Amino acid sequence: MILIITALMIEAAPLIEHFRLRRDMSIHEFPVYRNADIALIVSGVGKVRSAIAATYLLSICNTKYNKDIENVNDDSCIKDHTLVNIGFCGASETQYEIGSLILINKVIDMDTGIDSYPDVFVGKDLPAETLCCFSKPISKEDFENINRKSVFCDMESSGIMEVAKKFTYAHQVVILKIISDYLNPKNLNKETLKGYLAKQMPKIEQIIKEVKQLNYYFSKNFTDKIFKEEEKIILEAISENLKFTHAMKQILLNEVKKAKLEGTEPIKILEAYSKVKVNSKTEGKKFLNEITAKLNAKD
Amino acid sequence: MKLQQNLMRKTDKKENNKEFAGFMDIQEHFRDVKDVKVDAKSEREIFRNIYVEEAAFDYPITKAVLQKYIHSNIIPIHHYKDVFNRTNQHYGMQKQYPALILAIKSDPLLYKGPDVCQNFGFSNFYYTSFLLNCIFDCEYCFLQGMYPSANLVAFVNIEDFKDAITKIVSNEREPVYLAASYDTDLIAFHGIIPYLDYFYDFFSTLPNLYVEVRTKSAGQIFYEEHAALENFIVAFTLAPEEVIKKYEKYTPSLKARIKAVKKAIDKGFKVRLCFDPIFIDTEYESLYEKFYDYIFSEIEPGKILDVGYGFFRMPVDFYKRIKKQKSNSKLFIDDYCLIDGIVSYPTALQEEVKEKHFAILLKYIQKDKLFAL
Ligand code: SF4
Repeated sequence: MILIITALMIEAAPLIEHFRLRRDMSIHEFPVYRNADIALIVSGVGKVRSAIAATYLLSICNTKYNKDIENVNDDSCIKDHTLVNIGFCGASETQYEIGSLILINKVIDMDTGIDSYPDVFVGKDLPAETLCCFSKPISKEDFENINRKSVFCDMESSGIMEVAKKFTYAHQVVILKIISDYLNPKNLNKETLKGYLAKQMPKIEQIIKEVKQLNYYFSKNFTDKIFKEEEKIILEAISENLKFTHAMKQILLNEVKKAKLEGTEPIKILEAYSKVKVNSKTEGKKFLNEITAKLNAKD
Repeated sequence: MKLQQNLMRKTDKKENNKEFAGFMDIQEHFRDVKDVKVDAKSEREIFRNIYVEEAAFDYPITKAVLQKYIHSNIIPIHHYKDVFNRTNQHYGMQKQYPALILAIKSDPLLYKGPDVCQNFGFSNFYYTSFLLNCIFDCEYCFLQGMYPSANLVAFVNIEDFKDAITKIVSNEREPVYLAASYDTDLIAFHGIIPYLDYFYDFFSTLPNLYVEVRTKSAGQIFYEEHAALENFIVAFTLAPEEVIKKYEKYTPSLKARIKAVKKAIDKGFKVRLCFDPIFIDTEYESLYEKFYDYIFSEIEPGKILDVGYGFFRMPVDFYKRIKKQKSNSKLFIDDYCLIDGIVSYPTALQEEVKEKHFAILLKYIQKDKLFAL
């Protein structure tokens, strides 16, 4: 899934409207909106809030929203999500117009000095920049006290990056910023800001599309999604009826996978065992050996 | 200026393009990779992101690379490990769109050769890496298990490498054997950074040093531009075309590699042929016998320095790490034996296959020129 994190409702509103997201009324901790493949959370301002919200969204996506996601490996599902942080940022220089969309390839946490690097595989036509994440809004006067030639600044990105380091691959986090001001954050008008976001929606939509393609490519090539639904049901039934331990179940999955990668369809062999029941693990082990031998004999 | 010209020059356009196909936009991979053509535009975008250590900006190699890839995003970093050693990278995904990292290598710059590598009779066996990772994407490559990242790290402080090599060579009485491209492919990378151009004169001044450069590249520019050196060996890894297609993504075809072998021989280079890794598999087993005959019908055996031979093998830790990431790979789901921390085929099976293969190879190559691991 695409998990969008915005700090403010004005950043979320155009996205909710564009992607036709619906509020999940069962969640009260944060405003959460979703459709079939996008979930959006409004975190509030600051890197701690953004980190809490991103983690929260990831965890509900792996439990509550995960039923429709095919998943065999217990720990693989969390790697199926991409965090997308969309929000406004300030800029010290005027090389980009106000309202421009930039893609971030480095985030510096200005409190700790820690740098984070997302693997940016999408949005190749967008300008890419380093983003400095501060704990408070930065004005022109503040900038003069910072030892940097130029700066793009926000208050959420380093929180998102910390979550990504823990829970996703480096290519599964995208930080997109729209320049709202040249370090004069006090004079911002809500409607004007919404307008900037709405104007960038085609580009944002394109990025979301690319992220989906990337997720598709990733899951096709690198995750364990080679079992069909009926195979998964039979595998579960066999493991339960034959009292398989976790390790025995893994052996069975491995053997079936091997048979499939070799081009055979093991379903017929499996079907014959789906209704067999045993009373002990030892008995189950005998059946495991028998199934394995049959799967191997097939190739 | 010469450096710049070297960086810009391209030979053997078609094969070079195939080598660069690994850098194509991820979206291209939804189509058949083999059909992907690299046009001028995408060639500029080979490295969308180039990370540069702050201290590396002033080195000539850095300047040349940044001048060449003017469309790349340049991201300054403190140390290459800040990017390269991140814990949440996906090797397979990065292989589709690798970034380049320009860095300064600190000590050690040379390493003693490990046992899983062939030493071809030299006891003073060292290896060095000017470059971490490789532009090719072989399914069996142990680098996937060795490094946390598929991004390419190119070290720019070549004078420090030269000093380290000189020091080792002058401290050793016996000749020193240096594998300079064992875990990468410097010849394939020549169009990006021509490391071998920078080291050529230096190698020629050290007769007590034997350098081996291993390659699957079909690029011929290096052999065309340089005279052969007595102490410089080009080791071509060859495999049946079916194995290349199945396991050696983005590498040139067998035909193209043979062309490069012939060019190197014609130009007087010492050429080693490496049949390594050999796969024992019902699908491939029968291919090897015909393959050896084909190779020596194309390449005159008398013009070969020697032959290296080895089975698919890998340190168990690397194997486990790769298996976890490549959960859909048949190669990493097969059953192997674990002997002394190395995953490979059972010894008896290896012996049996080796005997069959050697019976053919010995028709062409003397026994003392056949090195097996
Ligand atoms: S050519 Fe060698 S180093 Fe490069 S990917 Fe293949 S096995 Fe690895």
